[in-house]
Amino acid sequence: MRITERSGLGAVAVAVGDALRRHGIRAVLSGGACASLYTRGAFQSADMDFILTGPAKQSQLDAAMATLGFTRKGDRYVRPRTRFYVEFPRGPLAIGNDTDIRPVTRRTPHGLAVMLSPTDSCRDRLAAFYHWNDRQSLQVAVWIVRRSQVHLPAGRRGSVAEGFADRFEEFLAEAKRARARSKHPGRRRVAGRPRT
Amino acid sequence: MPLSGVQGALRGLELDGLVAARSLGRTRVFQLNPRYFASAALSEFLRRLVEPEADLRDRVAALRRRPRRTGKPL
Repeated sequence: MRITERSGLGAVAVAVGDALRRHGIRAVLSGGACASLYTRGAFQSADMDFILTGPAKQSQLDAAMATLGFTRKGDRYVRPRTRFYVEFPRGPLAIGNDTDIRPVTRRTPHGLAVMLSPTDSCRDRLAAFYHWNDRQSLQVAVWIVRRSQVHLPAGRRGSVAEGFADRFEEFLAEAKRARARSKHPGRRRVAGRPRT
Repeated sequence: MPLSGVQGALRGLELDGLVAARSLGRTRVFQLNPRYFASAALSEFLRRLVEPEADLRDRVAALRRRPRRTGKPL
């Protein structure tokens, strides 16, 4: 698959995944790029993190990325006239203490992508909310729940295991509010104004 | 140890995901990365390592943590 200036995140992610596979490199798309795909673009990310799940030498990565026109600049791979850049953060593939992460292979309009499941992507964003108190990550986790299929009991189990049961409830409340807002977009009660 | 050596070491630890940093003005503030999969075990290990270092613990304990009014002479 060719990457052009107009290629979106999904197309570039699939192209990179294909190039890595062709060079015998096993990698899983994670982080903000996954969140962006599962929120169907509500959350935008230019940064593509691929976690290596098998051995790969720097020279192999360089060669695989070069087939798409990416060159290494420091720790990231960049491509002229493409706003997306690719990084390979050190593994293991983990969310909090949980290293038993099963990636999924998803069919996208551009091809197959090996990536975190929607549930794990949501858990990943929630971890940022829990540990950094990052409200944007909470918002993104809510968007993922609204736009993709998330297994909430698994999310709850993970949160409870990490000691964040109360924050998971906060997330559920936020998701509920978002659902109510989308059902009744015009019905927002103004504070202080009596209900009629 | 030169500053660049410390910065290089921290950069390596950050790449490995063991520490995380954020900017505070012109300062990079590092901490153990709580999202690192072995964060709790690493924290416990470091705590254990510092146990016999009484002098180091005393110096860390003596670090000023309270605020200081703007313009107040040192």
